Amino acid sequence: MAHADTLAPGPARTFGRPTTATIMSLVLLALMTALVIAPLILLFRTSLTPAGELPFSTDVYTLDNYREALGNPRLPILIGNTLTYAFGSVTIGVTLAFAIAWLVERTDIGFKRSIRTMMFSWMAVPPIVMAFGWILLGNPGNGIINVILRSLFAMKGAPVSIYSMWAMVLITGFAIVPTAFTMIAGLLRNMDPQLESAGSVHGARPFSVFRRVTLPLLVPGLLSVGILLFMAMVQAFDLPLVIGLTARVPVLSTQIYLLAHSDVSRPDYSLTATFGTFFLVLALILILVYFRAVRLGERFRVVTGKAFRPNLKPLGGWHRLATAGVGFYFLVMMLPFLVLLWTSFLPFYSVPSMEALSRLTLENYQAVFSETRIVRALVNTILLVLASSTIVMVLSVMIAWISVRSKTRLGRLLEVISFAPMAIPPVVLAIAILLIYLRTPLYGTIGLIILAHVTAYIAFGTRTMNAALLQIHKELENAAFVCGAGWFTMLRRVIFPLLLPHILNGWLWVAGHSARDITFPLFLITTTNVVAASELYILWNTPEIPTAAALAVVLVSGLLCLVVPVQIFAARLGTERRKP
Amino acid sequence: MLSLENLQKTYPPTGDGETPPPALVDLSLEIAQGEFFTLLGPSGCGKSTTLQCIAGLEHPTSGRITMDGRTVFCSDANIAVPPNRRGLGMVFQSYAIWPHLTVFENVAFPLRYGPGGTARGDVRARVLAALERVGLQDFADRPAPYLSGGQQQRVALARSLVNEPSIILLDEPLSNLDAKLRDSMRVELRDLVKSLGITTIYVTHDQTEALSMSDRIALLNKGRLVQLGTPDEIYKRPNSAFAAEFVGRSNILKGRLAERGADGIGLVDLSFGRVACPVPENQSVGAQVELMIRPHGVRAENGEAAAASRFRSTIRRISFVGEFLDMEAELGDETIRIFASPYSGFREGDAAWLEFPQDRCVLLAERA
Ligand SMILES: Nc1ncnc2c1ncn2[C@@H]1O[C@H](COP(=O)(O)OP(=O)(O)OP(=O)(O)O)[C@@H](O)[C@H]1O
Ligand SMILES: [Mg+2]
Repeated sequence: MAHADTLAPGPARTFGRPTTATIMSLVLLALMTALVIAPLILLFRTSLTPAGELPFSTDVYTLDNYREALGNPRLPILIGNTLTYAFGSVTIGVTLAFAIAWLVERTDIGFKRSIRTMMFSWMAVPPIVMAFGWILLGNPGNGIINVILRSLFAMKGAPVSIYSMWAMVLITGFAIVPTAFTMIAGLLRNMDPQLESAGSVHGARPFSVFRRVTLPLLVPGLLSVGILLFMAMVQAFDLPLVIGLTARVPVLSTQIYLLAHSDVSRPDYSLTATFGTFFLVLALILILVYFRAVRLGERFRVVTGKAFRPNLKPLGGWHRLATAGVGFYFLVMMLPFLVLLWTSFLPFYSVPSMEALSRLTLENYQAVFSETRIVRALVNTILLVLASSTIVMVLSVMIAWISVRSKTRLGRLLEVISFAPMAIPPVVLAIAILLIYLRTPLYGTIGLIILAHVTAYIAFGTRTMNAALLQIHKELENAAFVCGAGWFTMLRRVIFPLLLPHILNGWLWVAGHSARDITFPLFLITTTNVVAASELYILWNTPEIPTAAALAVVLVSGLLCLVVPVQIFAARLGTERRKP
Repeated sequence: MLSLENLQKTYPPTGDGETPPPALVDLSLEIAQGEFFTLLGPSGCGKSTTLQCIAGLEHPTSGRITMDGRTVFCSDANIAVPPNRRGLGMVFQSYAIWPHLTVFENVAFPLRYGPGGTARGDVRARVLAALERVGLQDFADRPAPYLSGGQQQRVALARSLVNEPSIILLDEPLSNLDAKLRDSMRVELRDLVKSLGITTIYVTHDQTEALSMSDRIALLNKGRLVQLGTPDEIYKRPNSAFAAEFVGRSNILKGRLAERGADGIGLVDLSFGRVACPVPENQSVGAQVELMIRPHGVRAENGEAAAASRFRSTIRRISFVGEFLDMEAELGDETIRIFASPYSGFREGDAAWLEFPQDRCVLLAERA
C-alpha cells in the first residue's frame, strides 16, 4: 500500500466560500468571548491594580492585593465556612432527595404524580423568599417557633435560632432537595431493574442487593450530582447573605459582596477582584473534580436506552410511614411560605393569633401594585425573565448545533467557552461585569442584568441542548439541506420544532432562575434597574416586612402561573411526538 | 451527466486521536443521463460516503465532482457548492421524515424553502401530484409519525421527487422494509424513476437489489472500486475473488495455468484434472491461478457420457431448497457446490458426472 502515505490527512481543510454555519460560529465565538472571557481578563487586571484605582485609569501592576488577601487572618475562616456550608447542605439535600426519589421511582408509594409536580413547581419559589419565611419562623426574638416553645414550656430566651451555621445548612439542604430529586430520579429511572433482579435470583437478601448492587451502580451518578450541587453551593449567595450575615457566618461570596458594597468607605474594587480570583480558582478546581467523576461514571454506565418495565417494590407496612415522611417534608417546605402569606395580609408583623385575625388587610397588595418603585421592579422583572430566557435558548440551540454537528476546532472552542460560566461563581462574574460596564451607558439599565443572566445561564442552556440534539438523527437535518434549505431555515423549520419540548423546559429553568436570582441585581443595582428580587431585599431591610411579604407572594404566584402551564404543555408535546 | 474524478476521502481522527483508514481511495465514476446506477459493497466500504460527497453533505479530501457540466466540487479550484444549491433529490437510509410535520408539509418542504420559490397555488398541486405518483394521495394530512415503514419510505420518495431533480440519490431505501414489501417496491421504484427519466444513484449492500434494478453496478470494497459493469457482467465475469464471493455464490478452485491457445482459451490444471477456460492476455503460463464457476454453472448428470471436461464425483450432501437442489460434491481434494434442478433426482452418496463449460469458467485476478 504505497498509496496510503499520500493520503495522510492534513489539517482539516474547508472548501469553497465559508458557509452560513461557519460565519455564524465565528459570530457566536466573538459574542461568547466578549461575554465570558473579557470580564474575566478585566477582573484579573483589576486584582493587580493598586488599591483605590480602577484598571482603566492606571498602568501600574502590583501584587499588594494578593499579599493583603493572603495575609488576612480571616481567609482560612472564610474558606472553611464556605466548604462547611456547602458540604453540610449538599449531604442533607442529596440524602433526602435520594430517599424520596427512591420511594417515587422504585416503590409503590402513592401520590407519585403530585410529588413530581410539587418538586418541579418548587422552582417557582426563590430561595430568598424561603429564607425570609424561615426568619419569621425562627428568629430569636419573635420567631413563631420560639414564641410557641416559650409559651408551651415556659422557656426563657431563644430556644432555637435561625442565625447560626447549622440552621443555614439545614434550610439550604431542604431547599436543594427538589433540584437533587430531579437529577437522582433520572438516574434511578435509567437503571435497569433486571440488574437488581439478577442479584435476588442469585440468592441475595433485599438489603444485600441494595448494598452490593444498587448502591455501587448508583455511586458514580450520585457522586457527580453531589459534586455539581457542591459547586453550586460553594457559589451560593442568597441564603448566606440573608441569614449568614446576621449570623456572622461570612462565606466567600458574601465577603466579596461586602467588599464591593462597603457602607463605611469607598468600595475597594482591587481587593474585591483579588478575592474574586481566589474564588474562581477554587471553583475551577471543583469543576475539574466534577469532570473526573463524570468520566469515572461513564465506565459504569448502565443506561441502555431501552424502556424498562418499572419493577416496583411493595412497601407493605411501611407504606404509611413513607407517605407521612414525604408529606412532612412538603409541610416543612410550605411553612415559610405560609408565614409569608399570613404576614402579607397584616398591617405589621405579628405572631398568628385570633386577635391578629381582626386586623387582616389588603393594603400591602395595594402598595405592591401602586408604588412606582415596586411597579417598576415588577415590569423590569417581566422584561428580564422573558428576554434572558429567550436569548439564552436561541443562542444555546445555535451553539449546541455547531458544537455537536460540526467537528471543527471552532466548534470545540465554542463549546468550551460557553461551558466556562459553569465554573465562574456568580458573584465573581457580577464583579467582573460591574468593572467592565461601570463606565458605559449600559450601566444602570435592565439590559445589563439581562446580559449578565445570559452569560450566567448559557452554560446550562448549551449543555441541555447538546444532550437533546444528540438524540436527533442527523439525517433529519441533512434532508432539509438536500431539499434546498439554508442553515437558518433548517434551524427554524426542523431543529427548533423538533427540540421544542426541551427548549421549553430549558426556557422555564432559565426564566425561573433569572427571576429568583439576587446576585446580579444587587451587584449591579441602581435606582432604575431594580427587579422584584432586589426590591424584596430592599423592602426587607428597610424594614417593611408586610409589603415585602406581599411582593414575595406576588412573585411566587406569578412564577407558578408561568411554570405549571408551560411545563404541562411541554410534557404533552413530548408525548405526542413519540410514535403511538 | 454526473462524474466523479479521483475522489479521496479520509475522515478526521476520532476521539482517541487515531487516524482512520481512508473511506474512499481514488474513486472515479462516470454516470450517464437517465442511468440507474448502483453502488454495491459490504458494510463500511464507503457507499454512503460517496453518496454524501455527491450530495455535498461531506466534502472529499481531494478530487472533483461535476453534474451536468457544472463543477460542484473541486479541491484544486477550491469549489464546494453547498448541498442546498445542488438541486438533488435524496432518500435517506432512515427516511428522515420530519415527525413534527404532516405528510403534506414534509413533501412541500423543498418547494417552500428550497431555491427558486414556488407560488402558493402551485405547491398544493405539485405536492398532490407527487403523492399520487407514490400512491399516498389519501394520506396528505396525516402526521408523519402515524405512518408505516413502507409509507414513510414513499413519503421520502415523494419528497425527493417533488422538485423534479435531474439526479436522485437513494441510500439503502429498502433496507428497513420487510421481505415481501421489498420485492414489490424494487419493481415499483425502478419503474418510477425510469418513467421520469431521472439519473439515479442507488446504494445497497443487497446483491439481489443491485442485480435486479441496475443498469450498471459499481462494486466497492474498502473505499476502492473493485469492478464496474452491467449486472450480467458482474455476475458472470467477476474480476476478483471478492467480486465472485460478494455477488452470488461461487466455487473457487486453485490451480496452475498449463497452456494457452491462440484463441484466448487456456487449460488449467486443477487438483482433479484439466479444465478449459478463457485466459486474459497478461496471464503467464505456469502461474498459480484461481478458477471460478457458479454453482448454477456446473452441469451435473447421473449418467455416464464422454465430454472434454467431465469428471466423476461423489455427492456428499444435498439440501432441498425448493427452487433448486443445493448439493456438495467431492471431487479430488475439492468440494464443489452445485445447484441442480429440483427434478433431477440426485441422492446423497450417488456418483455425479460434472462438467465445467468453458464459457462459464472465469480466471480470477490474483488476490491482493
Ligand atoms: N462521520 C464519520 N466520521 C468518521 N468516520 C466515518 C464517518 N462516516 C463513515 N465513516 C467511516 O468511513 C467508512 C465508510 O463508511 P460509509 O458510511 O460510507 O459505509 P457504507 O458503505 O455506507 O456502510 P453501510 O452499508 O454500513 O451503510 C467506514 O469505515 C466508517 O466507519
Ligand atoms: Mg451507509
